Amino acid sequence: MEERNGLAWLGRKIGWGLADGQLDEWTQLGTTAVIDRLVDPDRFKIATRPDPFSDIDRDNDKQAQMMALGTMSWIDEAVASPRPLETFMEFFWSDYFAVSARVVRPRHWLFDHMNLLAVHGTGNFAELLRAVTIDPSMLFFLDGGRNTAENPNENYGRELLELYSVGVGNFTEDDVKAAARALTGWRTRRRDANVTIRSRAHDDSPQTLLGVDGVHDLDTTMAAVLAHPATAPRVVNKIATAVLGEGYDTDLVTDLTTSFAQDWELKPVLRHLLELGVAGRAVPSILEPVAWYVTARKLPLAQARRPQLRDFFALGGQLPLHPPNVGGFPPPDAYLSTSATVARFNLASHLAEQSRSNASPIDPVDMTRDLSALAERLGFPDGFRPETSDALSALQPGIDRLAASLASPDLVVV
Amino acid sequence: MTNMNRRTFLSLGGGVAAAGLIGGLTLPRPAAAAQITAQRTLIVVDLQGGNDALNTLVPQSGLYRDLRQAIAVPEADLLTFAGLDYGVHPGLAALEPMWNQGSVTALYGTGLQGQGRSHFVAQDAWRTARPGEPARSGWLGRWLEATEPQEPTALRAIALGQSTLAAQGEQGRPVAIQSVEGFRLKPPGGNNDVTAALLAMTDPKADGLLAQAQAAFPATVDAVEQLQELVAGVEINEDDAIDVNGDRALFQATQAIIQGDVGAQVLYVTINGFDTHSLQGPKQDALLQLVANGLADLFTALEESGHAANTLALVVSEFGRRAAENGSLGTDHGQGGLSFMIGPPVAQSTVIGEPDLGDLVDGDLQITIDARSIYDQALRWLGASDETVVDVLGGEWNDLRILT
Repeated sequence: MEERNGLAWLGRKIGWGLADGQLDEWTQLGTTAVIDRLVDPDRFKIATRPDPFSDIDRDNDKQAQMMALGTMSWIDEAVASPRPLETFMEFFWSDYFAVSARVVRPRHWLFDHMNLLAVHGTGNFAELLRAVTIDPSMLFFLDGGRNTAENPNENYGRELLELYSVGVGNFTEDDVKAAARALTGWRTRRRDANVTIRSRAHDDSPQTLLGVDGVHDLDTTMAAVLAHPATAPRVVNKIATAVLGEGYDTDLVTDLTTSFAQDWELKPVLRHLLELGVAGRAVPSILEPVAWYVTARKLPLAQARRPQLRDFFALGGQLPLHPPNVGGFPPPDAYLSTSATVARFNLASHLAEQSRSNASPIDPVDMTRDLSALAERLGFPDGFRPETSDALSALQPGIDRLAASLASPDLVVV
Repeated sequence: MTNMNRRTFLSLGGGVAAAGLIGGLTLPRPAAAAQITAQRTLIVVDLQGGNDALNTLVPQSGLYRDLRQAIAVPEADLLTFAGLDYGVHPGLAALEPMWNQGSVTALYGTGLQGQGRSHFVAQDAWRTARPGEPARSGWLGRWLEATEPQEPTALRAIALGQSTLAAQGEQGRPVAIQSVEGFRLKPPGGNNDVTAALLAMTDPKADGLLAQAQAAFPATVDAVEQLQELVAGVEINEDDAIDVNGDRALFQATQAIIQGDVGAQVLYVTINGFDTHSLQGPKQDALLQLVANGLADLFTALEESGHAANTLALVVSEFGRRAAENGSLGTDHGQGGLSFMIGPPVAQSTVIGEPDLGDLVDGDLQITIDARSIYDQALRWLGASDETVVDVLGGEWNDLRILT
């Protein structure tokens, strides 16, 4: 039973919900085998992620509509994906790097950016950081494409140090300038997003970055930030916070950090963190809007209509592909705000109402008649909390119960 | 049904079952229609990303045009405000009448020593007023928790645009309106039984995050019930070229909330987009226009409704930008910034502090006015005692006299 609870946590926290029958299937497989499949799906020949943006018309005159369609398609892929940890990490990195369609033009480069995060998201951090540094979206987002020998622009150099590697307090203003200089000259061809380095715009003179001499280009910049002792602990802490929750016991990841700094492989880190979480070492955290919506969709429920979904993300404060600023999405507890609570409640209502239509994959009355079965479907093998269960019992089976269970505080805390 | 206020709704009980469920719930809060008169309201407008001070109020020093060869505001575009020794960015045109009425004080060189050039470190310093400390509460949040309102209300502090650490207390958090669109609760089929069921999902023994998650819904019902009619009337103009994020609606919501007399003492409006590393000109034009027009329209409306004398706006930004332009027609992160206090409570239109372009620190304007000295003014105006101000702000700061 304890194992089942651990797996239910895994489904809710990392899987963003459970498909029908998934908890039983996982229980039969056992924790080790489930984590193996999540962490290394290639080894089990699990179907790979299709490009969720392949059907989006990038020449759409209405760019906002194009992004809305792309975002909805991305969510559909998250709902259907047999590789939920990859989705979890893709979204994690999209918050970590915080490249935003609010800024990047053309906006559809964000689609390629997400695909890039998916490719490297559970692979190797050194490769990921290098790829993101010269990704067309990032070159636009933090002005790397405008950073030239004649006119260095330190926007990317600063955030590389502050947000993506060593962190505040571990670099100087001279380091910012050095990183900016070493990364001068990259440019994206707008027509086809081809990225090249122009030798005339690149300052190849040796810089000292984080105490490392002779830094002069992308590779030596990457080597310098990765060699700094603050980078690995910072990255591991970010991932561990995402998996185990704010305030987890940091002593648990000390050894992990040491090995991560050797090879930058993400799979061993993720495997260890999932094992800790399943073993009950996670602390409660908030199920953020995107994860909450995907969880609801896995019941399964039909896609929300576009206006309702737009309100949900606008009020909820977490629109995928559109972080509000370079710091990424708001901190988790922001999703308990008035605004986010309104958003959750209204979308729960909308999804429940949608389930009444003929196109709905479920009958809401059947789905909600047995509360313990509904709870189990939502990842609570021991049922809802007593107060929640009492309140739900007072409602008729059907859309009311469905809406109230989706909006319940039980579902928000994982 | 959606307009039904929560007390009415609770007394109806939402059906037999729900009446039993919510029987044990205590709901201390004032009548929704309580009129709180002579309520003072502080509006903070946070220009997130670091507004470029030097192109906002342009100094006459010739050094300015040397430092800004490509992105200086053209001489011909600069506005002249009576008695002001700076050129004014054309985006601020809407503030001229208030300037002429003596209601705009600008503060040049604002910041907190040691805040550095990081958005996040500087924002935390500004919002917590505890630079260099890992504070989890903001200056306004601490003040809210240290004082009693005239009437208890869930709406003392409202964050518009996004939640803010500044108004976060040790325990409480402000009501947040991310966007005015859709700020109402829509239960399925309009059935308030569902709302009642959610109100009943609380366990008095819960603690930590679960307790917070359980408390979120009742608090939300209170806030929405009192605010939805006010903010729902705000019209969104999606085609507005200067308002790409729909932020103008935030000023309109601010107006509706103040005129609604709901007891809001702190309104914190966050506007994103000031991090202008490249092509700064058009971006800053649009943003300054948005803020100046928003505030000017707001005060005009508040004047008509008799609320203006009790309203003070404070415009802040986490830092000013580098004195010299970069090569991307933009500016990088800097230090000393520009703040404003705007509204009838301001004693006179003037500029306090002076940007010395001949005495930069590492290429940045110096920080000569501690942000806490502005907060000190604002808190005293809100009614804080000496003791409370010291408790809330800690540390030492210069003593300014900006308000009447």
